[in-house]
Amino acid sequence: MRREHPTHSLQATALVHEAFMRLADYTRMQWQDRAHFFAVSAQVMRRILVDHARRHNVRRGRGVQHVSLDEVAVVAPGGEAGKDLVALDEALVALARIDPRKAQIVEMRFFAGLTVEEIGSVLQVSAGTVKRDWRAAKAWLYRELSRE
Amino acid sequence: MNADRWKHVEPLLQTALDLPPGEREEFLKRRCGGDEQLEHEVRSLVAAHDRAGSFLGNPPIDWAPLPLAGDGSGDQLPASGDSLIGRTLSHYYIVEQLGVGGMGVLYKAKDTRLGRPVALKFVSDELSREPEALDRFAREARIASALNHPNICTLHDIGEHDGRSFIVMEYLEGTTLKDRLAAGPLSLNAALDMGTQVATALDAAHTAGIIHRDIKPENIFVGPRDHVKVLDFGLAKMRTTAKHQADVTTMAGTGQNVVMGTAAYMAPEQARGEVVDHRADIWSVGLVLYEMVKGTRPPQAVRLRVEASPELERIVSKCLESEPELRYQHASEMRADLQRAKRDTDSMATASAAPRPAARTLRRALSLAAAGVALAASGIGGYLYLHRPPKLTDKDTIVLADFANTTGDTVFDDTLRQGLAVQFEQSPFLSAVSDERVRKALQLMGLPATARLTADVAHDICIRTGSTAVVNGSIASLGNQYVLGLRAEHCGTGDLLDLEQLQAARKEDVLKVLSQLATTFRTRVGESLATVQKHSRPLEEGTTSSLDALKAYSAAMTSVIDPKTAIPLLKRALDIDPNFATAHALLGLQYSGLGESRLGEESTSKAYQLRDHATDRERFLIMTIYDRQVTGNLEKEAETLRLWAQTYPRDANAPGLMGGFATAGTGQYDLMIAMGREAMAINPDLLPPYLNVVNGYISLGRPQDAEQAFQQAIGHVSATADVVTLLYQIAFLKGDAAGMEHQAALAKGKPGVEDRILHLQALVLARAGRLGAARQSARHAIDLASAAGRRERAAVAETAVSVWEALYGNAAAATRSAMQVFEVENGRHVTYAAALALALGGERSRSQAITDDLDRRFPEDTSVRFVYVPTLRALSALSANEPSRAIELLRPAATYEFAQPGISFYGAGGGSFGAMYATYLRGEAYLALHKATEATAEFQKILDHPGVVLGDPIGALARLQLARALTMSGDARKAKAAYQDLLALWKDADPDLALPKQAKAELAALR
Repeated sequence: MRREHPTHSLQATALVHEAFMRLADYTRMQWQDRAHFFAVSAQVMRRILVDHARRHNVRRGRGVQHVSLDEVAVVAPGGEAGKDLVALDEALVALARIDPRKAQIVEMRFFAGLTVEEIGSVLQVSAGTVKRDWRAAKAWLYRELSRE
Repeated sequence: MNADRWKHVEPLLQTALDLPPGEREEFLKRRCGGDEQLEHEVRSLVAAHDRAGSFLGNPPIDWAPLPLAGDGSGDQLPASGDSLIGRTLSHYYIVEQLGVGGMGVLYKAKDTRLGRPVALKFVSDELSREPEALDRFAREARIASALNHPNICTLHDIGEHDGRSFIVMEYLEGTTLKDRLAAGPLSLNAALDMGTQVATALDAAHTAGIIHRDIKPENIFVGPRDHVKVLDFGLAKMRTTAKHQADVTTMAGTGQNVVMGTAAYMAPEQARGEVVDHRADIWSVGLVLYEMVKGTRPPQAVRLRVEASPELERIVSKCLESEPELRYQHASEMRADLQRAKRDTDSMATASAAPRPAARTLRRALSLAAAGVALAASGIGGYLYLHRPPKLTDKDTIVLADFANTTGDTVFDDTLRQGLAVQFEQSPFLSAVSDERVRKALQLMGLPATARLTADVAHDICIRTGSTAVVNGSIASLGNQYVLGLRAEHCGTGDLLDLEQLQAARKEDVLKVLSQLATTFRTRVGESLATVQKHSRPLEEGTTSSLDALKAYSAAMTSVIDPKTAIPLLKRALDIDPNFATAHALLGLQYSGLGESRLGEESTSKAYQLRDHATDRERFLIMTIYDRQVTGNLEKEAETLRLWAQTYPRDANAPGLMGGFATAGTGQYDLMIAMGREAMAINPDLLPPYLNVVNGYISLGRPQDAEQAFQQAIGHVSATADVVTLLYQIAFLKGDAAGMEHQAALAKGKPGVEDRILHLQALVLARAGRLGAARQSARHAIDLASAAGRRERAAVAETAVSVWEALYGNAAAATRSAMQVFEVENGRHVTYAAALALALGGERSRSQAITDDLDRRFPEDTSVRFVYVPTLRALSALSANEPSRAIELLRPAATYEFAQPGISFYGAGGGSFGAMYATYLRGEAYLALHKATEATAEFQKILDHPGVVLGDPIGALARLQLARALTMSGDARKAKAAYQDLLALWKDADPDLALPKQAKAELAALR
């Protein structure tokens, strides 16, 4: 059976780290704060990644590509990952115009890697709502990106 | 589509997606009421949803660094389909083609970086044109990479060449079971042995929620000494609860009616296309087992006979029950039966042989256990004796894997790794990769943060984190005894660094033996004997001798973020072992985190008393916490931290802690930044140093540098608490009102953040003379903090109100507010602030009593000694019209003139007010003595340190007093400028406020 909790998570070092957080009194590491921080970062990450992809597309030549597992999976309606990212970014702008919350959820989940629960906490909606928004946004974006 | 249209479309889309696919069409027809455009719209979205599969499945942040152009050797590769032999793709040199399988071509290659042979599997040309096949391919890769087990083929990497994806796998020597069986059936013994290995692999996969779904002889690989590896988890899919089954199927992109797997070995329910679970694999293994001993698959509908072994016959029959409920429910049960059957076969064989002396049997058993413990590819032993093992240096880091615990006793889970970590942490030489780093690596590997650090996972983490070695521990039972093993391997070269093994006669001795193992290990890998001897307290002396206490402690540490879980666990650990010093210390921290300062101090003091029962590093931590929380003696704390840093130069926590209150509370902001940077250099994943550096720059009044430092923190995205507060302060320093508003808006509705921002806003409003609005904001902050049970934080906000009321001359309001604070018990910092308000409001006797009490109770506390007591006493002297005495009393405060005392930085959330009050009072005293130049210098100091004073209303008052001092000195021009500066600050002040009116009159008198 899988254990309930992580073994690697806190040895004395990390414990001190936590102790340290308290002592320095940046207050308790609040779950909400963490989520909030990610949410703020999501935008930044989106910009960095999309810019990177844009530059990369210009530079990119043929040849050996070393991509991660995840990249293979994300190349959805065909084409190269970098291009998709730029296209996705544009589609997200369009989505934000008709449904800003869904666009934000995609930003937080896809670009910042927030969990459904964290997103729910940031947006003050239930996890169920986030999931439903996510699937609708995903369908909308997929269709948008499949149109060429 | 516009937003209005979308409002019609989305609900229909959602409802349609909730319906089974078969019912959607009818629903759409009915609900769209002939609106063809709408119907089309929704239908295309439903279709997109169904096709989307793993689209957006993985954040791009997880992707490998995007590639540069090829290095030339790989650039002009032949078109796909041509031979790749002799080519180098990425860093894989293709040696030969091994075969063509269902999914594509398989090559043998050499990993030119790590020098090891690997297998590359390409998607076939036809398949690579089908997105679904690519998807399946990627899924295989992902799923296989999540499984790390000696009996499962390891996946190393994935790459892409000319638009074709390939997987990089462990290169295996041997043949598939299919080829092996072509030469005839196996012996009963070999069949039982291999069957056990397959069952073990499946047990691991099933436990991880993964079903193979295509177990067949082709997918079982037999290596040297019949070591079995299960291949191709390509059809596997994550097991989920039945409730989510439908969803997951769609998401995984496996069409609902598509049956996957190889028909001949499929379980009946799988062949029928029903939802299958792990018991389908058990069916398939049954068939494979039969085929192993008989050489052919069983005929249909005939009672199976395995003449060689009735026991195996029973096992096979149980696997092949057509109802999943009647089969083995878990692979582990099957494995146990297979092992039993094997044991019986063995003992029959032994019985027929000549009886052996008992001692020899035991020795054999021991060496078998040793082999099991090492778990490594064979030949290691020989290697160990032939080569001098390489050593580590003090630049290397190591990764600790989870212990392989085959005893079945869960008390060893986590506990032993924890124990080993404590042992290694004593070493100034060894440095284990931080947990943050491990978590990040796991995330990049697509594994949950809670994933078990199996040998293979730990190995990957070692590579990913640029570490040198991975240490695998193991424990196995041997009769009533235990065999503990440690095995360290260079993760880049695969060289064995050390292999240790010791036996514990009883369970009670396991920790002792673990300590011995750790000590030997340290010397073997290159640590000097001197430091090993100096810092090697055995666990039972240093930490705890109780396995159960250590277990509860390990559990507590994993939940350290949540005090509600951690506290009972720590208490449990202390019930078992009341002398467990570090557990006391941790409990103390948890309590103070909850704002239970008194309980916190109690536990911390207890830990301090027991500090001799701790390892050196634990003792440093305990002493630090003790001085920070109990004595408040920052000088002593800094001394401990310096010694800590000296003894353990590779420990980021010493400089990290030094960069916090130890430096802020003594006003050493340059040191604060330097220490933060040092901690960052040692461990880039520790977040607090980043924030401390930001805070250091804020305190130095350098918002641009603070902002830049903040950008760095973002680069190390991780959790953080008061980012918003820091950004608010940066905006304040820049005079950026919009930025402050922005942060306040972000904080809105965020528990634990909003109240702090409201409090800061209240201070800034009060500074601008807008007391009405300030009170409102403060009230809101206090209510929020109280409602959340943050009593001390509410008290801090309340004292801020009382202090500014007093400064603005509303003595009655100040006293009222301060008295409210005294109604409950408070920490020393809040007590001081309330006393300050009383004294400023003229309540001399009461504040004097509190001062004496603080002086008596906290004789060592740095803030009390150098700030609180001098300030309160000087106030008292001033109100008694004794300015010279006040100046004398303020002398000690000059030591840490620019410090942020506890109330400002540390006390219950950091009040962000209360710094430089001693300076202010000294200025007043000089004014009273008509020493205009000296007074001017004091008030100017306050204006020159905006990063220390921040939004504290004292900043406004200092401007008023500066103008008065300048007037007194006869410098009318400068005095005018000072008044104008002040009146600009007070331009929106409440009309009924006395001080602004007074200031205006004083300015008018100058003209």
